[in-house]
Amino acid sequence: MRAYVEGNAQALEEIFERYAPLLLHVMERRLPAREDARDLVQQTFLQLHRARADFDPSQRLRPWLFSIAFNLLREYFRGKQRLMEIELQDGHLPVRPHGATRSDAMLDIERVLPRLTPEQRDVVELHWLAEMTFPEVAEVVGTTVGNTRVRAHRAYVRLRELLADATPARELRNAPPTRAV
Amino acid sequence: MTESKCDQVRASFQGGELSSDPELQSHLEVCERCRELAASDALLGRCLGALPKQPAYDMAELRQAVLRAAAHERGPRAWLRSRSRNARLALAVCAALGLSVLALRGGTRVELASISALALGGAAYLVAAWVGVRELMAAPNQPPSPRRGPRLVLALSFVAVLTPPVLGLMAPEHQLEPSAGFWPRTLACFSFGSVLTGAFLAWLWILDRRDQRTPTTAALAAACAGLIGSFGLQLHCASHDGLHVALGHVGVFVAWVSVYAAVARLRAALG
Repeated sequence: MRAYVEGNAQALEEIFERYAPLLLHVMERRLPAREDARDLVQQTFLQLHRARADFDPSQRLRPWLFSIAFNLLREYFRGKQRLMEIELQDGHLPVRPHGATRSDAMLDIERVLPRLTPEQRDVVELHWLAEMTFPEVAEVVGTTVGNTRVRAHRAYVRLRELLADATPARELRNAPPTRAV
Repeated sequence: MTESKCDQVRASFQGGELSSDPELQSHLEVCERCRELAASDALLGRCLGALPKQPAYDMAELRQAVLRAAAHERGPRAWLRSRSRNARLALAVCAALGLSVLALRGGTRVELASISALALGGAAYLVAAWVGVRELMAAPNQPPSPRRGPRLVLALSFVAVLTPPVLGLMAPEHQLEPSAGFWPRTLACFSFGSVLTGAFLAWLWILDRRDQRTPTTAALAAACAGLIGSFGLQLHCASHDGLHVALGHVGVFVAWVSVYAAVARLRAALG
């Protein structure tokens, strides 16, 4: 990013290669139309290009880029007033192919994630999909690390409740305690 | 003791990581409740960790679109809006000062003895406009608050509506009797204020990095520009006539904010 700020146009391509697939994937999960997701990713990179002089090279680029994207996403929902509609659409799921080996529980998580509140979903998806640490997630969603952890905890509690309705109890009992969420 | 360990396990989950403390691990072996909690979290963790992390299609087209859009960012406007936030704020301040000097030099106001009143009013206008412009030029990673924008527009409106009458009371009467009638003078002030407002609004638009403005940001931009226009008017004309102030001075602010916000709302509604 430092090279990009200093005028190296090639650096934008490298930044795109590194972050665009993940960013597009996160956006696709949130938006009903793939075209809208692509537009938002394009706008994100355009904003990044225009605001490159505001970037502090001592900071990490990924949270900064995702902050821009999530701000655009919030503006999108606020402008279109679609958020409530999407939340009410119980069956809303992004269309994408799934691997044949994925278990029912993994398919269920796709189904229940949209039923979290937008704030909870932001935290869970940024942590698990974008593989951000909680401090990075806090930077993106504009809150404290403590509040981010609380949101994550509430999201997990809610996900457990939702999954318990869909997942056989024995699968829950038999799963080894490998890693906490 | 056991309850305390259960609390520790729950606290670990709340913190996002299950501690590898051997005591906690041995507690899990004997406490069925905590084991169930850990098991359900392990399953949840596996499910979340297995979420697909890549989009399902080729990125080449999007890559080309992004690089093309970035390559189109050429010319004076692109150069201006790629400046840092502080540089763009400084450019906005310079424009406001330039317009103020223009208004003062082109004005009919002669009683410079009222400079302290003008300074007080000017400070109110300029501080309010500064706060609004800062918000408009917020860094792109700063989370937007749905309430902050409308509140700012409301606050700026108070300043714009209340300052001209207060300044009118504080400033001395015109030394020279205006020769024109009420409506020509009022229309002249409205036009002059509109020119100043329009000029500042155009400058804000040039410095703006957004491609589309929401109705709130449009109203905020118009309010900031309207404040600069009102300030210029105050430097230009110190009338004590309440109706003239309401129509010729405050009217500029009200008209620009209303029209600009209405057009932005209409554009948003039409998609």
